[in-house]
Amino acid sequence: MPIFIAKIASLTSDSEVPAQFSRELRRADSFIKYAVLAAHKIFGGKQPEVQSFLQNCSLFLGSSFGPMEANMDVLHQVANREQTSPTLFSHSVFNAAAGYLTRIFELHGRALTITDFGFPFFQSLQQAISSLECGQSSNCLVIQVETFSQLLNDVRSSFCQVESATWQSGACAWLLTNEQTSNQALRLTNFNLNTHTALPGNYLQFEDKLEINGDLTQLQNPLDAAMEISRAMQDGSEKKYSFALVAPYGKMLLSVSP
Amino acid sequence: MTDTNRISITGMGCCCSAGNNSLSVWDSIDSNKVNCLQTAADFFHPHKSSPLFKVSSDNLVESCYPFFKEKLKSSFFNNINRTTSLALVAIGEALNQAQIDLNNLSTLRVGVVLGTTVGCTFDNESYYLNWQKGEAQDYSAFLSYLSANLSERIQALLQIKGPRAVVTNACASGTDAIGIAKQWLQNDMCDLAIAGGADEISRIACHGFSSLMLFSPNPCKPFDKDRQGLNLGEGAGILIMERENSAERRKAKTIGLVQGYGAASDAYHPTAPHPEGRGLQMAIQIALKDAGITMDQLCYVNAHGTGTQANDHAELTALAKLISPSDYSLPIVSTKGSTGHTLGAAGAIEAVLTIMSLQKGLTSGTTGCQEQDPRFPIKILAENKRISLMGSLGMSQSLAFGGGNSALILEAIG
Repeated sequence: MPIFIAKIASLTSDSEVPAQFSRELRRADSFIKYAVLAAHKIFGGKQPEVQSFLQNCSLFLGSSFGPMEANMDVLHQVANREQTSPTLFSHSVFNAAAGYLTRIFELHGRALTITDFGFPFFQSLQQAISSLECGQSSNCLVIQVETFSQLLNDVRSSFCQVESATWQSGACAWLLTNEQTSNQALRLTNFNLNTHTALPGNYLQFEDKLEINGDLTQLQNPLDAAMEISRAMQDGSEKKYSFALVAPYGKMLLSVSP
Repeated sequence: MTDTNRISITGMGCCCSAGNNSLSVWDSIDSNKVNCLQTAADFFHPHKSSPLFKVSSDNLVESCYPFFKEKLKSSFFNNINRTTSLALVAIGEALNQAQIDLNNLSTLRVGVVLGTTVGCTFDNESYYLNWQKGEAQDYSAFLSYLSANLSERIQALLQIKGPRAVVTNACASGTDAIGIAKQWLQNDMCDLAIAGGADEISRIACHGFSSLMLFSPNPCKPFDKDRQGLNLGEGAGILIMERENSAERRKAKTIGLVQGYGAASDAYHPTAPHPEGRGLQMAIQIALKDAGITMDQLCYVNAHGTGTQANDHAELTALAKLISPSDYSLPIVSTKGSTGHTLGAAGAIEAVLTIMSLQKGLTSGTTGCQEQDPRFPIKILAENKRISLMGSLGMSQSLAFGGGNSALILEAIG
């Protein structure tokens, strides 16, 4: 079955919340906001209207560290014997962002949140492809969202013993379909993900390397792979793209063509 | 004749407060036992305690250690967290039943897909407090967190290769994990799958659910007219799954089939289910279609049945719209009165219990439900009932925070 990447969107931590979401997101944390904004960019600023699209659109959200800020804020309250905020706790649940996305965009299909320190975007992509191939979905929104806590940043600096750049928060999203809905859609011609176990320090030192049509790039943070691949495809300067991602915890191969 | 698309269950394992293996869990539930701690001050603010369904900690690792003893060095069991320990207990039982030699696992593509909630969070309070004070400390506690991704840790401990995923879909995680494994096998992404869920009780979860006022101050009473909320529990449930023809080739006994899986979203509220369970209705319909059956072919439903006002009402409202009046005798039970709500493990434990009930052709009623809420549109099986099951097909369903809903259609064989 052919699979197409119909839309691509990415955003970083300096993105603003559009006014239309200010009420819905008034209590949301950064993790949820990035997820919603990425989906908003995918849908072109409009609510999807086609009922069949909404019924059959599945969501696959991957993250390395999940809603880490909310996680730490709840931990702070519990450890310091303060009253736990119910809103904060519900936002610290890993699939809270998925709940916001399905509600705001009225997506009734399957919603899956996957957590893995290595390749969370590509694990979500793998599940989305699997869902399309077995006919459970006809459209899939694949998103990676990352926010990082100060505790994590401090541990990284200490462990790596060098001045480490602060990891960039944000989100990256693709819309996959099994129909070519536009001339701009890219066809997924090859995808292979091979993960294996790694030492915990590998996830702090971050030694991922990405090859794009033969050009090698050293990546800096857990969102970089999805962002760089997205940027390359959106650039549109090449007809075909071949990506190879190598890390201590596995390899990913991806090819796309018009 | 085997069907290459049929997914066999060749082993099952389960542990929770009701028992440390699937048979002891089933026996406890069959006799409506409630094994919970009435007060657990360590986990709650003063005056806000709720019963907790904890796994008996005696010999937790040693109970699975003998199974792995020949293959794994004892040092492998150092520095594993409680969630991973619970998973290993259930995995050990399941692999043993599936008659899988650990040495052979390395020759296969083995998928590991496990659901969890607590197992993915950083919850080391003393580390956090020291960091907050700016005190120097080593980062070994944080490295422990980075080595605790449940599926990755199991891959490392069992030295297996293949796809892996940790599903963090709150209360539907275990059900979704089994559904993912089914798709992996059907898409030939692996030869064998270890699928299910595990979760330990944590102070974070206790304080969090307490803040949402979802707890019952007494042992929970799913579907009962006097229900006051849920109780948290811990445990693990695991299925060993493989393609039916593959199981036949290695002469493994198929004890059940995962016939269908469906999932859908309420798109309604961050924590409360849709009042009519519209997402659950869709999930069930997708699961039935996947299995190629209709609702009237089911002889048993293991409901999510947490004991909260909102969940129990939404769930039975959804079922009432799908069950024709002539089938209102379909046995619907919740087992959480005996296990507590084990979060990421719940769907997997309940899948194991569904298969066991179908195998035995028997189910007891819902522990804790003396008299069901008269407002419910359909009947559930109350605690004092025990009936024979007339068929081999059943359904296990889960509703999650965030509005996720999942359902499995399971069949017992033999």
